[in-house]
Amino acid sequence: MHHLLWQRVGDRARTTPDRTAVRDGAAALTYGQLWEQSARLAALLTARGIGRGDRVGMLLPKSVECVVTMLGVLRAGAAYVPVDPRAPASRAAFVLRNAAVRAVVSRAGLLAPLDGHCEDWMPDLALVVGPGEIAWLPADTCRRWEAMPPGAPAGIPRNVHEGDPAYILYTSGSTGVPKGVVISHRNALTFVEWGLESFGITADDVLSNHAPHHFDLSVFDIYCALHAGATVSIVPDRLAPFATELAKWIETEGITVWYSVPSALVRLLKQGKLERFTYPRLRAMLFAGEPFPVKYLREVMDCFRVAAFHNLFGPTETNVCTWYAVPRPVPESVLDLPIGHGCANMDALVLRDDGARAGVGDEGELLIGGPGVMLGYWGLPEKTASVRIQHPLHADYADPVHRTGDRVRVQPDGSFIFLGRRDHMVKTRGYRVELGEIEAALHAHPSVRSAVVAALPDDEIGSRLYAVVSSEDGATAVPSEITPFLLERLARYAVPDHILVLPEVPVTSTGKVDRTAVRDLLALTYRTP
Amino acid sequence: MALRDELSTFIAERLLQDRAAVIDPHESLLDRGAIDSVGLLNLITFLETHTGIRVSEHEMVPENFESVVAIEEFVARMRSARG
Repeated sequence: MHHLLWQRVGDRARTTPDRTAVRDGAAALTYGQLWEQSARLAALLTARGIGRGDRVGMLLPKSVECVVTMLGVLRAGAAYVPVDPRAPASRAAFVLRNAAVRAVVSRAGLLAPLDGHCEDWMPDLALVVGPGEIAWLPADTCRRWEAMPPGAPAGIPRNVHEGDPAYILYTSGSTGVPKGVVISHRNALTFVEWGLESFGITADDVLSNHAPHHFDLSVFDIYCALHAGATVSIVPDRLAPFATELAKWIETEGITVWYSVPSALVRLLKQGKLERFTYPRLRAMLFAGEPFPVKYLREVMDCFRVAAFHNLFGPTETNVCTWYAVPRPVPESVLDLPIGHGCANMDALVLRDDGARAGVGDEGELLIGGPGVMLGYWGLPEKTASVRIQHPLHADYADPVHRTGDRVRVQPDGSFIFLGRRDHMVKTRGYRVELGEIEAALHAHPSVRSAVVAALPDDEIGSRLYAVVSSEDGATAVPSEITPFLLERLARYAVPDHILVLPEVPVTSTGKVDRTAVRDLLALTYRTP
Repeated sequence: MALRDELSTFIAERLLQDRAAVIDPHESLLDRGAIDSVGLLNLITFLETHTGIRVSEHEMVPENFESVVAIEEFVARMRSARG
């Protein structure tokens, strides 16, 4: 029985060792090479006493080495923690420290700037891909990736089971620091099995990998490909920003299954000169992360005429939990794209605010149960408890259900329409951002007395972020000084595009920030709809 | 300030999110991972504001943004084409 996320990759390495498993523009690995290299890493970690109950950080640009790292860490029985290589040093260091990783796989250019941000955290092992030294790490901690000795782990490490953590994905946290979503082998396999079956992934497929590896979309790309014996082709970082290059790459790579945030497809539509290509091999276009404006979706569907389009929906905590097959053509009556029905092996139910199960036409919160639901938030038991409740309709069900915080409406066919959030989480370019995290970073600036962040709807990127700040007594808040300050603390997509300085931040009669007034004010100032 | 200095400051602060970052003008910004899709748009806005050029979609190709030197040459070409 295969109960761990990496085992079926071993089957593929035995049956089709010479097929390409992963490529990244510069390099490619066959299943045989991927299996052998991940065995070396697993053996090295095991020799250092790193295994079950430990975590290994992965701070790397997207590359074939990332996939080797994921499998190697899992084969050692540990969990991996992908860190955004574009994050500022303070944020990257926070994630490594918070997850208390015992080893890290990285490049010298990414590890060196962490000096001074790590406080009391120090890895036992740093595997360095490529050249360069890291002055702040002891010499005997650093090992060269290229010089990993041959080795292989002895099968499945003892006691490792499907409920063990496989990876931790950090997302924006409302209290000002990122929080880690802990996903088990079983959680990930539930998603991968659904993906393989729903989209009929076979060894002949070539899956794109557009999303960064700290983003859960990449789990589909990598593991559905590797489980099916297919190829996952990582979009090279150096061409990803250029829409015309990316449009060509999809054709020349022979991508058959594409998965990304809608805003990436809108960018391709507007700048990619898609009319140059016919994309005869591209059979499935999957998107998730934010609502796809229907007017753009129709245009994108006209450019990719062979592909079936699917809207996938779900927070990192459950991975994809509902999905909707988009009809071609999209009927004129569709104004908001449904998020569809629950996925296989998932319990998707909607609870009204009065606690009753939502019927047709009712609104409520989407709750998700089943083996896809995360183990919890890393090191935050109270936060985990706040989203985990007894199944509201079955007092005798042992497994709790997850409160997504997403408000939906039930349609006549039982599918759901996404309405919004019950908290201050927003999506921009498909990334989830807690407004509270940005506000905490703004408050840390010495010239800022009060700050509030609002997200206003934006056709192309979901929502655009705006900040309103007031100056500390005796100081003057200057947007051009605040922005670089934020960039050194937040992921770039979380840094507001506009900062408006006012004598006072609007408050309600009870002294709380008046978010409605702030939004109205911003809409007026920046003339958004 | 010369364009090169302004550009280096912009790349360090806004793209690499590290005001202390050192940028070799010949180094590949693309290989360093300094430019993603959002960063490219910010960089173009910066160039349009600071140099007066207008960047159209067909000029958004890797060759024009490979390095600080490549960007300088691109700006010079755009300026001379405009006359």
